[in-house]
Amino acid sequence: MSIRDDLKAYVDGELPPARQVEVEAALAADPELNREALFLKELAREIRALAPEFESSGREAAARRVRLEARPDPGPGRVWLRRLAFGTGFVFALIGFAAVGAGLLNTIGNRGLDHAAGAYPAAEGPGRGIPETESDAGAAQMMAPAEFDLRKSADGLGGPPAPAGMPGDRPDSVAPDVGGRASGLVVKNGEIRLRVESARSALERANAIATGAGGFVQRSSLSGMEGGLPTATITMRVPASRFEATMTRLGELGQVVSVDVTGEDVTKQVADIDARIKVLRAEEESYISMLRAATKVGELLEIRERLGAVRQEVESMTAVVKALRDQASLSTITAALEQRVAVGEPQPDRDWASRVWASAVNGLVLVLRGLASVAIFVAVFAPIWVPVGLAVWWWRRRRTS
Amino acid sequence: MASDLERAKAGDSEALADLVHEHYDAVHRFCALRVGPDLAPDAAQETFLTACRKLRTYRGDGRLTTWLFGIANNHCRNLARKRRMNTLEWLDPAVTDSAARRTPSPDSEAAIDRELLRSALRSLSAEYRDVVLLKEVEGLTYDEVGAVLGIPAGTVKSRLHHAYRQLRAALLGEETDR
Repeated sequence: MSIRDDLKAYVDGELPPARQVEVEAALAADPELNREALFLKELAREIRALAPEFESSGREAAARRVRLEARPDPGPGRVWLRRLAFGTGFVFALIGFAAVGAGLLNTIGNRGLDHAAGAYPAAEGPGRGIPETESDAGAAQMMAPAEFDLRKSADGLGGPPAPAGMPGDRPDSVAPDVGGRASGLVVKNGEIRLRVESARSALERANAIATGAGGFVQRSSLSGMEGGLPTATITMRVPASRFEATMTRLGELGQVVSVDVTGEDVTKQVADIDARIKVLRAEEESYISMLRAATKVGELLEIRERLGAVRQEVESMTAVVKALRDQASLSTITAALEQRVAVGEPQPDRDWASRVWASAVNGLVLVLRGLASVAIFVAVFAPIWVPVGLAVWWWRRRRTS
Repeated sequence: MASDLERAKAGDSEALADLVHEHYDAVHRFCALRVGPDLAPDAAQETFLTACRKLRTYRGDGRLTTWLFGIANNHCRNLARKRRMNTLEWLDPAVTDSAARRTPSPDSEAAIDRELLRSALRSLSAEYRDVVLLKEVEGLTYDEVGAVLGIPAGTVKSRLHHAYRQLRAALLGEETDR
């Protein structure tokens, strides 16, 4: 920095001592610089001289107003506290909104995931324990996993609650007597979807549960070992009396995502067929008696033909009853076991780049579409905002002029 | 004085009124130079009302007058902008001639043409003119000028240097790069 740059500061006495000494030395050596410094001093004096003196007025009015109106604002400490309180409230409100939003999203997400899976029947009260009709049995009610208590719900399908570790086993496949109503045969089917730490080990444990319950595995599969997260599916048949206990034990394998249980009361169907079989057997006995009494060949042939038809019908109906009893005695449970992504272990995905690319391109398209939408809105609403804008512009221009 | 200020900070209306009495003349003159003598009482009154409300933010690390000038400067700037007024009335020949002047220095009167100086001051940019007026007319130090305008003292020094170069060039008919 040159001495001239600091000359005004020197004249004003605003230089540090060391620099001041340097400037003084330069002034002593350079008469032209000295003249410049003197000019600066004179100029400052002249500017001061130019400023007029004004007669002070309004002092009392100002003092009066201050006396009446002025109240110092709260100190910085109180302002800080107020800001802290406001900020805390704001943060809590945000957290509240986020929690509500997350809850809604979670519910919507789970409903979206399970929309095709049906749901666990909401069994409340003794009258709803067993479906009354086939339509009742087929009806499925959705229930969010967060609200779902597997043990309670499984028990609600029929029978008293089962203590933990002591599954609610019942002596046979016949549904319990509920509310004094006659007991019946119920065909129970269950589907449960779980998120587990390891699909393979969960599948092994599910196998053990099936055999431990006295049932067997009808089908099991493990997929997605390469390139995706492993998923296992197992379909098991277990004694109906162990249905609820098995569902409960399966639910302990991981996080329950959805549960779907259906029950079909086939008691009336079986009873009808049994009655028909009884009638047919009586008919059969009658034909046998007639056969013994017959003497003509023609009669013999006709009676034997009818006897054969009756026996065939009896066999057929007996098979149906047997099948229904079998279904009622062995329930079917299907468990889908999805392995969750472990923290720190990204989901193996060979096609991530193309998916990210597609996602980015779609995002760009969305943004462009959004901008285009805004432009269209702006254009369509032009009859409203253009006159307002013009009026403001005219008013400002008028004020300026 | 410190106790008066503390009382004023605590909201004592008499202490606040005393504060007005003590500093009113300086603030009024400051405002009059910027918005003219007619609007100066209003500007000064608003300055004191704001100052009394914000008194707790005054930390006492500078002169109270300087702090008041900072508030007054904002009020005057807003007022001048709202009224779209000529804030340099006192630099006009008619005003200056009719106003009571300070007694000029005998040797400087001969050296510097005052009409030319008024013209040169009017031609300065607002940034430069502000620092010149605060330094020379209000007699503030560079630090105080910086506090009033909200700029560092180094910037004040730089602006003063350039402002005086322009004034010198205008008065002596020299060429200068702005």
